[in-house]
Amino acid sequence: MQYGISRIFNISYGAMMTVSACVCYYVDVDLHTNLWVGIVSAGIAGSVLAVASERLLFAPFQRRRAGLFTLVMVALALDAFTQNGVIAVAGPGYFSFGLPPQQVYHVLGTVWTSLELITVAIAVVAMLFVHILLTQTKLGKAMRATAADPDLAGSTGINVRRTRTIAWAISGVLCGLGGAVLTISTASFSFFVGDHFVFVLFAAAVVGGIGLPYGAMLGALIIGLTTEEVSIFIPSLQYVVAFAILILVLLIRPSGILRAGGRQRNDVMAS
Amino acid sequence: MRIRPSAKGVTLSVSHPNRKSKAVVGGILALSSLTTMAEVIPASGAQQPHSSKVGITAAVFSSFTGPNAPFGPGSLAGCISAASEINASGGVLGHKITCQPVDDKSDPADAVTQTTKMLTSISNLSLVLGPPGNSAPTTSPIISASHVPMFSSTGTPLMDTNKDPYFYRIVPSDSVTGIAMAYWAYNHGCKTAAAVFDTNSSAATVVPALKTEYLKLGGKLVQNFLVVADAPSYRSVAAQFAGSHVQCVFTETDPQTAATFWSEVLQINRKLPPIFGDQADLFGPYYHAVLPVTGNAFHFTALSQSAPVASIGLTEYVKYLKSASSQVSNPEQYSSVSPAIANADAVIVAALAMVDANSTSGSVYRKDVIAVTGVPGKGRTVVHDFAQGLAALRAHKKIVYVGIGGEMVFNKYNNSAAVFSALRLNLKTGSTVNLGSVPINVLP
Repeated sequence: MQYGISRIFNISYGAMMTVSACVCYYVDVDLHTNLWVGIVSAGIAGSVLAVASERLLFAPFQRRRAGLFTLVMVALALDAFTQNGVIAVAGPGYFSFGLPPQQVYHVLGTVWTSLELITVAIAVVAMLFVHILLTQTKLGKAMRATAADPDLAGSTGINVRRTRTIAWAISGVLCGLGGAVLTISTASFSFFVGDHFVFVLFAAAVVGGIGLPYGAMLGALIIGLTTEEVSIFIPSLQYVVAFAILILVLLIRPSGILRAGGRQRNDVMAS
Repeated sequence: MRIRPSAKGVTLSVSHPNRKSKAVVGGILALSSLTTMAEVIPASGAQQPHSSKVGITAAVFSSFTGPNAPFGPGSLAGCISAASEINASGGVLGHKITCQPVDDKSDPADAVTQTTKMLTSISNLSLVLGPPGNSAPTTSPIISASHVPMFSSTGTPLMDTNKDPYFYRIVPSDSVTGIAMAYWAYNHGCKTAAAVFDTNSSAATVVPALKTEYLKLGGKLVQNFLVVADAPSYRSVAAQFAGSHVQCVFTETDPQTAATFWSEVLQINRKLPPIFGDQADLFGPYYHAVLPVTGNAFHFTALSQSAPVASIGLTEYVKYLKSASSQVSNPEQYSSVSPAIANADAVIVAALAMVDANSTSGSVYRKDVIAVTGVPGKGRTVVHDFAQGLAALRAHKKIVYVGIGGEMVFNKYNNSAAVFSALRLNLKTGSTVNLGSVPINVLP
C-alpha cells in the first residue's frame, strides 16, 4: 500500500519492526503492563517512525525528484542508522517476553496454541481493516486515486500529501504490529530480528505483486506455507525454496501473481 | 576522467581540466596515498614498547554484535579481570595492560576488515584474544604478519594442524567437542538422541565427529536437524522433534533460535529431554534468552574445557571480574563461564611469557608461551596466578602456570589439549556445577 501510493521501496521496515518490538517489550516487561498494551504501543511506535521517515527523509528526496535507486539507498541508510542507533542506545543482547505455556487446541488434525490463534486473529483483523479501508471509505478512494495518478488526484481536490502521510502511518501501524507479534511468537529476539525477516517479507510482497495489498496477503500465505512445508523435509533449505519460488513466479509473471500483464497498477487496486 | 597507460606507467587524465577539478583529483590522490601508508606502516613496524613504559594492549577480537554477540562480552570480561590482576602486580615489565574490544560483527567478511583496522589503529598491540570463529584461517595470517601472538577460541578443525607460530588455540577443536558430547551423554544413560544445530553454529564441524563417536559407542542418532538460524518459527521441525521421543539432545544454536525452537517444542510436549551442548552455550545471553521461555524444563549440560579449578587463580579472577563492570554488563556472571576463563588464562600466560622473555615484543615472547605452560614436572614451580609467576620468574625459577581453568597444554600445532568437564547450568543463577570429566584417553 505504501509503495503503491508513494512509490518508495522502503526496505527499512526491518529496522522499524525491531524498534516496534523493543517498544512492545519495554511497555510489557519493563513497565509491567498488559501484553495487549505493548502490542498497541508497538503499532503506534511503528506509525510514528514511518511518518517521521516519510516527512523528514523521503519527502525531501522526492521533492528533488530522486530516482528509485537513490530512494532505495536512502532506505538502506535509514535501516542501518535505526538498527545501529538502537544497539548503541540499548546495547546488544537478547530479550524474552517470558510468556507462560499456552493452551493447546487440536483442530482438524492440526495443533494450535492460543498465541498462534491470537496471531492469526490479528492478521485477519488487519487484512479486513485494509480491505474495508480501501473499498468502503472515502480515504480509501483517495488512496487509490493517488496511487493511480497523483497529479490527477490533486487536481480533483484530493490532498495528496496528507493521503500519502496517512498511507505511511497505516503501513507503520501494520509494521509495528507485525514486529510485536513476530517477536512474541519467536519467544526471544535480538536487535537483528527485523533485518532477518525483511527479505522474506519482501519476497512475499513481490510474489503477490508489489504495490498490491491483496498481493502481499497472497504472497505471504504462499511463502509462509511453503517455507514451513519445506522445513519438514530439509529445514536448512526452507528459505532457499522460498526464494526459488520467487524467481519462478517472476519468470512466469514478472509483475507478481496478482498483477495482470500489461494492466496498470490503478486497474488492479481499483478492482 | 580517464585512466590510461603511458611510458611512465598509468596516468590519470581529466577531460576539460580546471583548477577545481585538479584540486579534487589531487585531494583524492593524497587521501589514497595516506590510506595506503596507514595500512602499510603497521605491517612493517612491530609497534611494541621496548624502552618507554607506555601501556600495552590486548585486543579482544570477538563478536559483540550479530548472532554470535554472546561471545564478545564474556571474552572481554575475562581479559579485563586478568589485566586488572596483572596491573595490580605492577604490570608486565612495568607496562600497564589494557583490553580493547574489536567487533567482527559475526561476519567473516567483516572480520578481515576489522583485522586490518585493529592492526592499524591500536597502538602497542601485544596480543590478540582471537581471531573468532570461522574467520581464524583467513585473519590469522594477517595478524601473524604483524608479529602479534594470538590466543584464539575458534573451534574450526581447519586449525587442527596449525603451523603458524604466532597462533595458539586455547579451546578444543569442534571435532573433539563432538566426541566429548557423545561420550558423556552415552555413558550417562542416553542411548537414543537427536541433534539440533543451526546454520550459524559449528554444525558442520561438531556433528560429524559427534555422530561417528555416538554410533561407535552403540547410540542411535534418531534425528539430525539443521535449522535456519533466527527463523520466525520452527513449528514443523519442533513437531517432528517432539514425535521422535529421544532420551537426550545434542545442540548448539544461537540464543534466539534456541528460545524459539525449545518454546515451540514445549508447546507440543510440555517437557524437554536432557540437553547437551558445548561451551558456546554457556554465555549469559544464551540462558537469559532461553530460560524465561523454558523455565524449569530446561536441563542443560555443557561439555566444556577450562572448567574453573579451585585455586588462588580462581579467587583472583573472581575478585577482579568486578573491574570489568564499566565495559561489561554484570561481569560476575562470567565467574564460572569457561570461554571467559580461557581468555583470562591466555592473558596471564602471555604476560608471564613476556616476563620470561624480558620483552613485550610478540616475535620475542611467543616462544616463551610454551615455556610457562604445560604439565607440572620436576624442576618446574607450579604457579596459579600472575603474582606467583612473577615472583618465581624473578627468582630465576622455571614455572608452569596452572590457572583458573587448570593446566594449559599446547601440542605441536599450538592446540590446547585438556580435560573436558560436564557443567550443569544452574537455572536460577546462571552459574554452573561441575559434574565430572571426560577421560583424557577418550579424546584424540
